[in-house]
Amino acid sequence: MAQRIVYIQRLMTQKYIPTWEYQKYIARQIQENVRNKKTPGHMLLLVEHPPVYTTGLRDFEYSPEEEKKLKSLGADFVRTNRGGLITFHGPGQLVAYPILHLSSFQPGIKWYVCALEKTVIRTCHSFGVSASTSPHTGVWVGDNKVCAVGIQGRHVTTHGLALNCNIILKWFESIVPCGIPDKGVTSLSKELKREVTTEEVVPHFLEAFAKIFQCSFEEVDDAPFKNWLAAN
Amino acid sequence: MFALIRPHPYQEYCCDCICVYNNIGPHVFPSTCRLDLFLYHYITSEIEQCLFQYSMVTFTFPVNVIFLPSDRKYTEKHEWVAVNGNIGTIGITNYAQESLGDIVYAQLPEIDAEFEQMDECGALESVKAASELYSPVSGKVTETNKAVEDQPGLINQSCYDEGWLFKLELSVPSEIDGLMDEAAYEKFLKDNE
Repeated sequence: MAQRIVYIQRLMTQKYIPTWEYQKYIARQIQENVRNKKTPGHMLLLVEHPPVYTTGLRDFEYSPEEEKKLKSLGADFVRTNRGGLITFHGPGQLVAYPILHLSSFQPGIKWYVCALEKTVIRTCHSFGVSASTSPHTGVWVGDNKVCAVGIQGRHVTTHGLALNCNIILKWFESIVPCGIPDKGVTSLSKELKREVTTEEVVPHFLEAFAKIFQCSFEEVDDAPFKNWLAAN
Repeated sequence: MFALIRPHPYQEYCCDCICVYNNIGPHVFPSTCRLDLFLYHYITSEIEQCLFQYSMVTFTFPVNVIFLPSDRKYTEKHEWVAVNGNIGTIGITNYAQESLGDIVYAQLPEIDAEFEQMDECGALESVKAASELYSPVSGKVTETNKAVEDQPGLINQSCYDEGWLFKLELSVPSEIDGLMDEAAYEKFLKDNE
């Protein structure tokens, strides 16, 4: 099989909603490419968000009062179309949005979720942190979640994963992350008892991703994103 | 003895399975039964003398099996539609439910919503992933499956029967002719393996 190419765009720190709109824009482009029998142009967006709580498809579980309460903490609140329940994104968390034409890899969303989890487990292992999956999905260090997974799309994927590097974990105290009570959250910094930044984690993450997804990367600058932002 | 069956491996049957026994009948199979792959191949090969083996019902006598092809039509995105008059019933295929895994939430379209063919019309959530649903044909939603909204696991257990998703009043009935029949869909699955 020909080596698959995934383009990488590092968006630095961006607000949640424009990044989400940009994902949808890229997903439409990929669908168009596939329809026109061109190479899909898979994309991996790497980003950090300012503080934001996001819910998934089952947003009816979170009332307007709860939304107000969370917003009063100084974070945004966004109801999204991904799978999974509530989570938090903020500085110090590596957020990766792989926008992939899934059947160019392996058809099946079950496979995809599992591949994302394996990528994160491998990333953690490369830091000497022993992580694993659980029936709840996501990636765990013991009883504490280090990475949340929530995706959308069975043909072209959007949304993705959020790996806690040196994020302030206090933000998670106001929610039941992913709707799972009695479990905690952790970060690579907490596990390793030193500051581990997203910049330090990215190369490890990319290496693991290339291995699991059997792809190579081409880095593109963020000009397409900036142009898109300016046009929207 | 005859059994008239619309075969699908691993699929549960109740009302679709009719047994004519000693010239009396038709009898609907007494409880839900599941076709195993072995039986599926048996049925699709020819009219055969064979032993019926279901997960819940066992027939120890030989019966004649007549293969009734399903009248469902299929899309490349793994939805099916069965048309009765100008109403189409829509669901996802066994392949789709298997690749999604355990479904925990079904977001079905609103009654009276109108869709063009292949419009996004809802989503199914499984293993932290929301998978979009496409409408195989154009039309206006007349009914959604409340049982599936309460118990999304029905889609996994019975994707062709109890796990149907919604019904549409067709606005362009000729679209049906452009969809795959069962044999074409089986071939499509095989070619894309």
